[in-house]
Amino acid sequence: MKQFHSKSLEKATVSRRSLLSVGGMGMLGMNVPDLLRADELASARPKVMARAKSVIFLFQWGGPSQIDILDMKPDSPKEYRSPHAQIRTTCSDIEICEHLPRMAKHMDKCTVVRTLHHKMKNHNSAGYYALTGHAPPSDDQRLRDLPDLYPAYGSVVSKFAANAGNGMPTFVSYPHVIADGSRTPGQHASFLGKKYDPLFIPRDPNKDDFKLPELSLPQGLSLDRMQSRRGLQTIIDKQSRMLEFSERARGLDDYYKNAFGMLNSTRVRNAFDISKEPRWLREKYGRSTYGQGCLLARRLAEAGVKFTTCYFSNIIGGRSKTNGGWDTHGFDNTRMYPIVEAYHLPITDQTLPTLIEDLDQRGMLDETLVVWMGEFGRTPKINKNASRDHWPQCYSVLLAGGGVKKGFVYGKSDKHASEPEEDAVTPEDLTATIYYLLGIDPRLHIFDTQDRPLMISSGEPVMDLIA
Amino acid sequence: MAVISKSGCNAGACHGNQNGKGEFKLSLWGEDPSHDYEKILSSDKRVNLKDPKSSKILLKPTLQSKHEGEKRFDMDSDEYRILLEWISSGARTDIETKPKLESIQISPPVAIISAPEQRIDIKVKARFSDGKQIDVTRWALYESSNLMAEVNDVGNIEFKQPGETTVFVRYLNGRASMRAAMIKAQGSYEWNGPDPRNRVDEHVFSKLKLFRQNPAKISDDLTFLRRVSLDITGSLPEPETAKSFLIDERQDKRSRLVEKLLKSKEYANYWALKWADLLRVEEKTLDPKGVKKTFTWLSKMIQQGKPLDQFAREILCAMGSTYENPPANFYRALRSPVDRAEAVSQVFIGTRINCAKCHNHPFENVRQEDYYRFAAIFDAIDYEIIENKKKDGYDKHRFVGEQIVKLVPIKDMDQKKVLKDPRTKERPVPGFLDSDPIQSFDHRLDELASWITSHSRFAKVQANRIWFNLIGQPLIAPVDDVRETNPASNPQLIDFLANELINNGFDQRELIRLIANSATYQLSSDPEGVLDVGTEQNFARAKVMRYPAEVVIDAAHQSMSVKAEFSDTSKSNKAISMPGVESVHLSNKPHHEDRFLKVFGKPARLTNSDSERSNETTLAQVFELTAGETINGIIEEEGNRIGQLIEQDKDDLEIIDELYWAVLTRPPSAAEWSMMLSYVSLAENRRSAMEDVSWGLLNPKEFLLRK
Repeated sequence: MKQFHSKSLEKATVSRRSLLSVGGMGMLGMNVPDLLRADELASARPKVMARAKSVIFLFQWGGPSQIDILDMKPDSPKEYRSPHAQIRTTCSDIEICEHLPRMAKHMDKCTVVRTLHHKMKNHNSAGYYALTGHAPPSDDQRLRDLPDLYPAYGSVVSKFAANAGNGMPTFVSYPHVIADGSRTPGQHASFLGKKYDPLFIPRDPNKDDFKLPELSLPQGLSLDRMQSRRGLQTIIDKQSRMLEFSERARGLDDYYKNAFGMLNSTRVRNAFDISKEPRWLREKYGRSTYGQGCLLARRLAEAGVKFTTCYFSNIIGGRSKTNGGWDTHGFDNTRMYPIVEAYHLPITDQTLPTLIEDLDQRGMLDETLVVWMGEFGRTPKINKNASRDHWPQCYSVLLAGGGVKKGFVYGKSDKHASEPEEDAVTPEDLTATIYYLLGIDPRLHIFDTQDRPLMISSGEPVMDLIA
Repeated sequence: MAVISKSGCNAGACHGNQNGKGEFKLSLWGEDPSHDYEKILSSDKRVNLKDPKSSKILLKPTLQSKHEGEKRFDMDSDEYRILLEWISSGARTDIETKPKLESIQISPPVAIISAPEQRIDIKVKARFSDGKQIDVTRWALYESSNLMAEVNDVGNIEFKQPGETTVFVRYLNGRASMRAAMIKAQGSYEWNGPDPRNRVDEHVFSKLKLFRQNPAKISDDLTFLRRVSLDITGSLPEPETAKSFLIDERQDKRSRLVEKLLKSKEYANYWALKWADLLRVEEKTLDPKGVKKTFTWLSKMIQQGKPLDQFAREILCAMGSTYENPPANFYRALRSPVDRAEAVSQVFIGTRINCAKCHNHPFENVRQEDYYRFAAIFDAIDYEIIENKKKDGYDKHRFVGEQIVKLVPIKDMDQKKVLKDPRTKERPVPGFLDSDPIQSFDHRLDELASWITSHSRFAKVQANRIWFNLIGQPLIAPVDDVRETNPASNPQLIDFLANELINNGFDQRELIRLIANSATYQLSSDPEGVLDVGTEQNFARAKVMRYPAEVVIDAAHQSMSVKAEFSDTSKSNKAISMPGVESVHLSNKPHHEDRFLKVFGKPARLTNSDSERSNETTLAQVFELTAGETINGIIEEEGNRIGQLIEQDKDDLEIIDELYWAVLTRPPSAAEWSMMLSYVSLAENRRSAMEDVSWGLLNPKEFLLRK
């Protein structure tokens, strides 16, 4: 079988791009005059230079509390103050929650932004804002995932700074589709087109049989047999001559080449094969879906994936000590503090410092930007359930590596961590900063479903964050 | 103002941004001169009447002081001189006194040159209300739609290689466009195409002749059969149909085939699918019952041959129960006046007015005021919600249960919900986009239907859409963006088709017949190496493109003789007749076939645009075909075509032959035959070898792409 395929098949000879297309009137998306091309608007800022090769975006769905974790106010009145104490860290300017003792040892490598703020109080609208850096059209608990909403960060990165040549996808996300009643917008390429969608892995990296569905063939189908099939396909393609005269046919065949290249590449397979990691390191990240997700993110960054989004949970949660996100209202007679003490804080203290340390030890931290953030923070005042509700007006984000300052606090909140007092940061500015660090000009344009030119970010990079 | 626009100061990325830049905001592209005059004069530093040269509007753009937008003009430029003179003479406004710009004209309106000539110079004239005409070539802004032709800021178009472009020109609030083309060097050229079979061919061929190009040959019978079956019915021909078509010796067998296809129920379903995409037929808002009723209604309308103008009228005027009167679901899906206004203008007259929600439309004469006046027609359409059995109380988009769509008097409405123009905070006077008021508010939807269906763009966008659905490439792109500043690639052809549609009483079948029987439609996609065969864009050969998601998955099932059962509420067995999108887009755990449809671009039906459906090809699609469960499941199914043929004791030769006919609508070539045969005979397991052959047949370009 194998012999047959390798001997009798020649690749169709393709005179690549020999047929330059004439015409092009009304080529899709070309009708609107691109009057606003960003490159004509060379900026007064320093030229954009990539500081980060990759971004690991750890999305804390549900909304972690600022006042209990990274922006504690021990001197505020009891109804505001966290029941947790704060502890000193390796950065003299930063004190954090006592339930994050390991994290405290690595704060000298991190930047904390304490003044991120916006106005969206519902998870889906705020989540979309945090995942795209663009304000949603309305504050809607079940914001619909419309094709005219903005693409995920990783999709923009795929469009403007796609991986070339290393065989790895540019944008990978896993292990959940996040939702709050309905699917949260901002997780895919939207109007940019399917080409820029993430390679999404709906599987649990903590499971022993974790594999990339795309790289795992159905049972009973060997790689050899797949190769034979590809050989048979090539015979027919040769007969129809389509590869010779159609650019579109060649484009499709290129995807087959890529797909078979990935199937055959041990390097690509290895990148997704988390079982190659030593046991002790897997234990160190913690044998949880999220813990192994953080480890996989490091592995992918190492292999050249530019943007990895790892979602903390699929649901907003907040009522369980074993799963779900950070949405700790104290509903249904649950209470926030016992839950975060038992679940969210320990898992954070196991994963985040481990990832930062691991990247640092491999010499990757300087070129890998880690972003730890949720869609909003929580009410500074403790509610009647001894818990906290939604609070987008002021919350904290942790950044590490990828060209941001080390051991640095940006922005100051007021006495209850309820409003920014100095250096307020919008999601737009944070987005512009991320693109800037990746070497992507935040003023580049993309075209929406109506062919209107839109900027990838309407914010300004926060230059003070950059080392 | 022209100086400021020409220098790009009021662009969207600069001071024209909705938040301005550096605390200085101008209206986008100078649409509001009074506002801009006020802003420019609001600071005596920006315009310093005492010391004109130290005005910021002169210092910054010349970089005498720091400017984030960098240098815009030099100190010895006309721009600088004009602004300086203006400030020196008191910076007075002439908005009230100056004659208004009436229009701009480009000369020449069309220009064709042939290589080695590369340059076309255009002139722009502005006509003012006092009758004066002024050459404004130096002050207009230019943009070319095609990157192979560049246009500089004084209107010189420079072609880098032969091709066509549209040059778009803007001066103050005037917009115009012209078409320019460069054709290959004059040499020996001889028309080598078929005789025109109808007027479609005359228009297509005359453009090809102008460009000194030839069409490809007429495609062979089997290629035509496969193409026309998939284009008209979204379904593959069965092997027996193909074989008998091939041996049919009647002269008119192709047009007979077109007739047969137009009568099939697949035709009605497939074109209902296209309309369902445009009308937001999706379960979250309409619920599964409403979706099914609407799809069935659409299919029935198409089957009956309901004239497109009456079809539009039934939708636009539909009131009552969304279960009893399915077209009423149009207004159920669109729950606000502005959404309805945008959808109606885009779907029915190809006019995208969304821009005018926030600022005057940059390329159309739709002002913000017109937008809100048009939207006001759709105000006071309300719902009597008979029941809503949705489980999620927070989801205001989901409705499960019957609703009655009805007109209510404005005075009975919650006054907070009455549509207001955000600038005036007043209720707009309802009117059409061309500013004509409505006659009677009570009968406004009837008036609307008449206005829409008699609008010159109505026939044009419908004709463009039918052409696009058959040929794969619209005459005006995007399909639903019909405006004077977006000319058709073949204006005579789109005008002809639109007129045909009007003259035949808006009969869709008649227009399909006309197109499918043209030589143009039947051309091969293969230029066979002949150098002067023109492009797909000029319809000199058939467009190669990926078939829609539903067509691909149905073809895979049908060709392998596997009965599909999709996981939607209707348990559809063909994807082209799946009424909604629920299983594909709203399910948390989609079945692998639903995932297949999503990956291949089945739209979620959340916009009213032809562009929501994606026909691009992606790596994810190829993974779906190589490693996915859908295709592998079909070829491995015990009783599929392979199983049936083995059961019938067919030999390898017969099985391979039959598989070719079923999947590719053609017999294998001698070379293919011998290679496939030796593959199967060398294999240890005959059945798996046949599965491999089937995979090989389901993956080549001629299966996935239109040939």
